[in-house]
This record gives sequence, structure tokens and C-alpha cells, in this order.
Amino acid sequence: MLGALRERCARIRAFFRTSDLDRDFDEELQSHVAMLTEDNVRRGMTPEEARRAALIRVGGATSLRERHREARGLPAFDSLLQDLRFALRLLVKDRWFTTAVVVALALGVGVNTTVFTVINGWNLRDLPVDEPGRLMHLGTRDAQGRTRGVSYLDFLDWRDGSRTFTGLAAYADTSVNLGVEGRPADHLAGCFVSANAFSVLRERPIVGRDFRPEDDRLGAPAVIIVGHGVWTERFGADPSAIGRTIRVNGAPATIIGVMPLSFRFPYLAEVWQPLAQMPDLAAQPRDARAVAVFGRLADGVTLAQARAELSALTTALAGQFPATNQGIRGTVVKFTEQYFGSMTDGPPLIMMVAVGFVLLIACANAANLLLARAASRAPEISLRRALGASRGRIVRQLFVESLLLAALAGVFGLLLAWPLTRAIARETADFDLPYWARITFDGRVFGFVATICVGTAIVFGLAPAWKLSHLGTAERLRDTGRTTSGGSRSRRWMSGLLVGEIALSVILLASAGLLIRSARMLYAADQVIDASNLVTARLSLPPGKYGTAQERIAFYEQLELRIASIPSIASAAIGTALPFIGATRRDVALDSDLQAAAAGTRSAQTLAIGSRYFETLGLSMQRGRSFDARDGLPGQETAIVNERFVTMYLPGLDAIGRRIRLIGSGSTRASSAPLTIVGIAPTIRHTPARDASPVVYLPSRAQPAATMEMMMRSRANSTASVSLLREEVRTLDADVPLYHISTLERLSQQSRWTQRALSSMLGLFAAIATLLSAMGLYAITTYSISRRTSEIGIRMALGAQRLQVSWLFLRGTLVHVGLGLTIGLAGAVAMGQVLRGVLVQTNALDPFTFASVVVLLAVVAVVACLAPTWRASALDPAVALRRD
Amino acid sequence: MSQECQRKPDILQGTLDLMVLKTLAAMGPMHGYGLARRIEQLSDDAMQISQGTIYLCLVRLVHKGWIHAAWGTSENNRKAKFYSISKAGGKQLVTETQNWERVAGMIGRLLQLGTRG
Repeated sequence: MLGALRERCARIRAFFRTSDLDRDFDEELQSHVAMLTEDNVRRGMTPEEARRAALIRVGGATSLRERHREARGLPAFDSLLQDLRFALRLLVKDRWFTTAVVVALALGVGVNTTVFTVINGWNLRDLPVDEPGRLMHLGTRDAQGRTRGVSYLDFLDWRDGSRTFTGLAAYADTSVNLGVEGRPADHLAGCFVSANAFSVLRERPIVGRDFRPEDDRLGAPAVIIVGHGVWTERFGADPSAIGRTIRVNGAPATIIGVMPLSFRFPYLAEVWQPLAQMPDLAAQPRDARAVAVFGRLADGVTLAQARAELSALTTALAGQFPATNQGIRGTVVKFTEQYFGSMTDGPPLIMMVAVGFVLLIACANAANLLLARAASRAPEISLRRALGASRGRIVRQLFVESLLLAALAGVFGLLLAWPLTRAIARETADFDLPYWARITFDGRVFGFVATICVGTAIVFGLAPAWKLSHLGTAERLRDTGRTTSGGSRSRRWMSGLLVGEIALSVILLASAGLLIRSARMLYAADQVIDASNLVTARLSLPPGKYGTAQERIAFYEQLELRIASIPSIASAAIGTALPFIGATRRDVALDSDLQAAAAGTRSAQTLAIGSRYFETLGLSMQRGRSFDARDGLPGQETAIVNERFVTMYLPGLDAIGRRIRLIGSGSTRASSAPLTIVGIAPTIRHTPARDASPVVYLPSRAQPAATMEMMMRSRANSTASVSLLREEVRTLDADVPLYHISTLERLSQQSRWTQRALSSMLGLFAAIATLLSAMGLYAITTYSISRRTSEIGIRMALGAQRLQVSWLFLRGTLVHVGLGLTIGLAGAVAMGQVLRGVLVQTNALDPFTFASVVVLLAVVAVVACLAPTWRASALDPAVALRRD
Repeated sequence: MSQECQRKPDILQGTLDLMVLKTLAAMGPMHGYGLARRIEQLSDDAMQISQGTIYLCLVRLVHKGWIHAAWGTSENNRKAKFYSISKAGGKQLVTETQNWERVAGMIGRLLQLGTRG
């Protein structure tokens, strides 16, 4: 046993010292030969004779050296190295072939790596905590299938009833105004968490202590845990910060702990407060679903079991509290999945399918080039077979060549993916993505690249290799690559691959066309708003100071007055939501169907806006008027709807003067007082990356929310007006900070990003696919011409015209192109169904797009085929006939 | 190629190993040429293999740790690699010899059986 191990080690050592040991052995042999020669001379031979006899007696030096190497080293590895060296020499020799294959595959690998890196960074990356894979997010869906939160009371019941989780914790995002002695108030992202949240995550403060259950009780003294950033920036990382009192939304709270660096659970929070500090938590009814829940799966529990248990719990609650919980179902997904969604639907799926197609096309291209070259390799291979190389040995040699090509492609693919992923990372840098999401090349990405390299080598290399080794030796030796027979089988293969390439290109081009059209529609729709010089910001009124609607209304009125007095600002308005960003959706009832059971089928986004909202956006009312100072006062319950609302819910009717009601989200379906429509606004989008939907605008006075968005159009430099605005807000109340400062133009871009990224990426992929198909077509035509040069010569000698010769080749190609186009169109129709979910105002079967794709590909195909054909038809018959 | 070693009966390989070990144990350090000559003489030139083959056997025995190799100077002042048996090689020689004697005895008895019957 030990001896065997010792021998193995000796062999590995010897393998790495091959040249040293070879020299050593040579010397030994030489001395052997010399001694034998001397003895031979002593026996009476002439020196020449003696040396000759000695050499024969000892044996061939080359063969001995080879066998010595085998006896002491790693023979299998040695021959692999030999294969590698041979393959490398060959690839250097066939420079053009190598370049063509590597470029095709590198494009395929590059785009796949890019998409995988993004999906890896967003969809696959886990929270940086212990065993993140077992952290689950729990939420609900209502009867209409809309995603909802969890009510505090439901959470308590889930927590008490659940056995499949080691701990269930609740959290709710918030934002806080943080006042530290001697500094102006700052606005930070914060989070209310139940006392067990950090222990469920298995994280604990680096300084101070974690929350205790008694901190998370109503009426408990206010405590707060701060993030590492807050601790270092505001307290100079001083441990004595623990126990200090700071003002949180104007009320004092004691710091009890500091979380570790780069902990910002759940998304980008910087401070954490006990859930009990959440305003009005105790008063929240069962249908105020304001918290989110997460938990750690208990050991040995599967996701399916957890889902079954939660489903049983929610069914029980629905039976117990039908008024609030009817139709509410529980959902359990991986924690990170609730933010980015599943990678198997929507944009990630479309991207993966698209790059998969590009890779397939690249593989088909490479396989075709290999098959074409196989013809010229045949004599070499037959010679090796005849000399006794086994079939497996030949396949291995050829596979090593493919692997080498794929490895080269992998390197170039990575080089291609690097700037692409950097660009995506840069573009999304200000998207406020969760702290765990990061686009980087990590081990998983490198593993992925290695896997697809080996995978592609198998897909494009193994079949040609097997085919080449398959044919008998005798026929191969005879076939020196000039006859037209014998290649028909491989030509059929090549044609099949070509048809596949064209079909996949059609699908990609059509998808790209639809997505580009959709992105343009979205862009064009946004252009109704003149977004230049429009600065946006958000402000939050501390709940303590502005507890009543009256106090908030007063603040906003004063603010509007003050801003209007700034000369450099043309117009400004507040609203609960800005254009392009999401607004809450509520069910709407028309006065005509108040009693009707169908009341729940109409819904609209609702937002409260200041009186100059549309004026600031540069829009005028389609009909009626915009809000004035009296709207929202008792007796003045008014609303503005957008054009889409009218076309969808009041087609052909005069909307002005009609009355609508907003229905409460709870199952009680309490409806608001009737609202009179006073104006019809132009349709603007309040949804990210989606088509605009019906909107009901309410006067801000009717819904004075504590957090408001602001926008203002400045006459000149917008950065200067931000500081002016900041000044005004500070003069009104130093505890009200301004944050989320941006421009409407940027918000419009951000909200269209998914569409823009999808369409531009698919455009890139489709362009690559078309290029590869054209390359493939060109290569195959060139190849088939080279096989039939003598035939061309005969035909020309017999009087065929150039056009006739060209047609000879074009005809066959056109059949393949036509077949590919037909199959591709069928595939594109199917792909349209996948795209339907993301398309905006675009028909998934848009005839214009489909027709352009067909024409484009047909033209590209004919050009790619005609170029070599035309050149061939210009051959001098005499030259063509003598060529082989 | 390497098949040759394996194709020739393994007995030959084992025999050659044993011969080399025994020779080195009996005569002390020797170079490859000397070993080849000695074995040829002992076998009455019955083993007509190319002399170079001895080195394939020697490198294997070195890897197994049964013999040591070191460069030195031959009797007529030539640079040569000298092989000597190691402690492990000595033990191996004992086992191999016992093995050989057992097999030889067994075969001998078997052949005697054959002549009687």
C-alpha cells in the first residue's frame, strides 16, 4: 500500500522533471554503449564495427527513452500533453479557421457570461448571513392575486401556529429623520423589526446589545440600533455612543447597539427600531397588511411543507375572520426572491433563452466549420488509423482540439463580458438595489464559464470527431478531399445546422424587434411631459409634530407659498407619487353601479396631488379644470381622472360631473364619500416599465400624507434650486429633511430601464446571431464551391454562363434559407407569447416586425451566399479543371 | 510502447527484478552495463533481450525504493550510474526468494506427479 503510494509520488515527481531525467538517462545509455564498445574492441572488432554492434545490442535510443519515460512517469498524461501540443500546432497553422471558430464561440460565451453574471448578482446571490438559503419571505396574495403584506395580528397568529420555522420575525420599512446633538436632521432608511429578527438572521450587534422582548412592547422606552455607517459618521465609531439619546423623528430614543459593517437588512436600512415603535401598530386592523414576515426553515423541513402549513394557517384565519381574511392566501419564497422575483419568469427568462439561442447558433457555426475542415483532415486521420491509432484515440485527439478552441473562446468571452457587465453595473448603480445584490465575477461565474466551455466543446466538437473517426481507413486514404461523393452525409448535417441557425436568428430578431418597438412606445409616451429642468425630492414630516391632517395641510400650504416666491423656480407641486413611479391601486365604483356586484372589477391608481401638479409637468387638462385651493374641503369632494380612465370605464360618456367612489382595500369594502369628477387629465404613466393605467387624482388636502414627493421646474440651473428649496424647508422646520433628490428625466429613465435593457440586449444578441448565420452561410457556400471546383470548370467549359453557375449554388441555399425562415417564424410566434408579459402597446404578432425580419434575413442570406458564388463563377475553366 | 513490457509474460518482469536484486545483494553496487553483462553470463546468454531494457527495470525498482542509484566512476574511469540494494530491497529479496522457492517447489512436485502417472 505504502509502496504503491510511494511509487505514485515518484512518478508524479518524475513527470515534472521529464527533460532532466531524459538527459540523465541519455548519459547513462551513452556510458553503457561506450563500455560495450570497449569490450567489443577488446574481443577483436574494429572500432566502427564495435560501436555498431553495441548500438544494436542496446536497442533504439528513441524508443528506449520513450519506454523509460513510461516506466517512470505518467504515460496517460504524457499522451494528453502530446495531443495538446499537436492541437495547438494545428490551430496556429489553420489561423483563419481558428479565428472564425473562436470569434463565433467567444460571442456566444461572452453574452451568456454577461447575462449569467447579472442573474447571479441579482437573482442568485444570497443574503450575507449564516445559511441564507433557509431564510424565507412570507407574504400574502389577495383574491385578485395581488401581492400584499401581512397584518400585525395575522403575523402574531402565524408565529404562534407555525412549527416549520425556527423563528418567524416581522419587519416594516420606514424612513427616519435622525437628529444628533449639534447636527442638522438627516434622513435615513430604517426598519422596524420584531425583537427576534436579528437572532433569526443569526446576526448580532458588534457593540452593545440586541433587542430584547421587553423592548418590543407597547409603551416600552424607545430604543434604537444603528448601523456601522451611522456609528462611524456621526459618533466617530466611539463605543460610548451606546446609551446616548438621539432624536428619531423628533422623539428621543436610546442607542443600545451597533450592527456590523455591511449589514443593512432588509435592503438598505441604516437604523432599526422595535416593531412596537411603529406608529399605530396596536390599532391596526387585520386588513391593514403593513408588515412583512421572514423566517428560518427548521431543520429537515422542506419549502413545500412550510407552504402547506402556511396555507392551512391562512385558511383557518379566513374561516375565523371572514370579514378581513376572505380569499387571502399565504406565500413563501426564498427571501431574496421576493425582491428580484424568480429567475424563471419575465426578463431573466427572456434573457436566458436569448443568450441560449446565441450560444446554440455559435455552436452550430463551429460544428459546421469543423465538418467543412473534416474533409481536408480526412487523409491525415486515415493515415493515423492505418498506423494503428485506435478510434478512441482519434476521437480524443479531435476532442482535445475542440476543447482548446472552447477554452480560447472562454477567455475571449470573459474579456467581452467584462465591459458589458461593468456597463450594466454602472447604469444600475443609483437604483438603490438591496445591499446583498452586486454584479461581480465570482467563483460561480467562473464555474459557469468553465461549464459552458466544456459543454460547447461537447456539442460542437464531439459529433464531427465521431463522424470523422467512423469512416473506414481505406476509403479515406483514397479520398484526398477532391471528390464530391462521400461528403453527402456531412453536407446533410451541415444543411441541417444551417437551417437551425437561421430559424434561431429569426426568433431572436423578431423578439428584439418587438421589444425595441415596445421600448420606443414607452419612451414616446413619456415625452408628453417636458422633463427638462424638473427636480424632484421627497420629504417626510415627523409623526410627533405633525400628528393631525390639519398640521400637515398647514405645512404643505406654507411650503407651496414659500417656493412660489423663489424667483428662479417657475412652478412647483407636491404629490404622493411622481410620474413613472408606482402609486397605490384601489378599486373604484362608478355612481351608476354602486349597487352592482361588479364593483370590484374596476380599479385605478390613486394619488393625492397639489394644485399645480399638472402645470409643473407642463400639461394642460384635456377637459374640465385642475384642482384649486378649495378642492378637498368639506363639501368639495372632487377628483380628476385621466384619459385612460375615461376610455376604459366611461367610454362615450361625459365624465365631467359624474361621481365615483374609492373602495377600501379590506374585505369590508368600505367606500369613500362620492367624489365628483371635475377634470380629465392627459394620460401619464405611474407604473414602472409598464403601460399607463387608469388614475384617479385626489386633492392633496383630502389626503395629506406624512411623506410627500416634490417636483419643481426651475428657470435655469437646477442644482442651485435644490439648495434654495432645502433652505426654505429648513426655515420652515429644521427637523424635516429633504432626500431622494433626483430629476424627473432620471426617474423616467430608471423606470424604463428594464425595457431599455431588454430591448438593447436583445438587439445586440440578434445582431450577433445574424452575423453568425451570415458567417456560417458564407463558409458553407465557400466550402461547397471548393468541393465542386472541377464541376464548375466542366460546366463553364461546356458553355454555362456566370449567372447559371451562380444559380446552381444559390438555388440550394435558398431552399435552406426558406426552410429556416419558416421554422423560425413559427418559433417567433411562440416566443411572442413569452414576451407578451413585458410588451407595452405592442402586438406580440406585429406583422410589420415579422415582415421586416424575414426580408432582412433573406437579404443577408442571399448576400452571404452570392459573394463566394459570384467569385467562383469568375473562375477560368482551364484553371478550375487543373486545380486538383 | 508500454504494451511490450506487459505483453511479455509478467513472470519475466518478476524474474528480472529478482535477478537484479539478487545480483546487487551478492556483488555490491554495480552499473547498468555490469548488471546486464552479469545477468547474461548467469543465464548462459539465454536471455537475449536488448540490454537497454534493464534500465526500464532499474527505474521501476528505484521508484519502489528497493534500490538506490548514484553517479560514480567505473573501473576504467568512466562516468556511470551505480545501483545498490536498499534495506527495503533486501527485505523484498527475502520475500521474493521465498516466493520463488515455494513456486518452484510446487511446480517441481507437480511435474514429478506427472511422470509417475
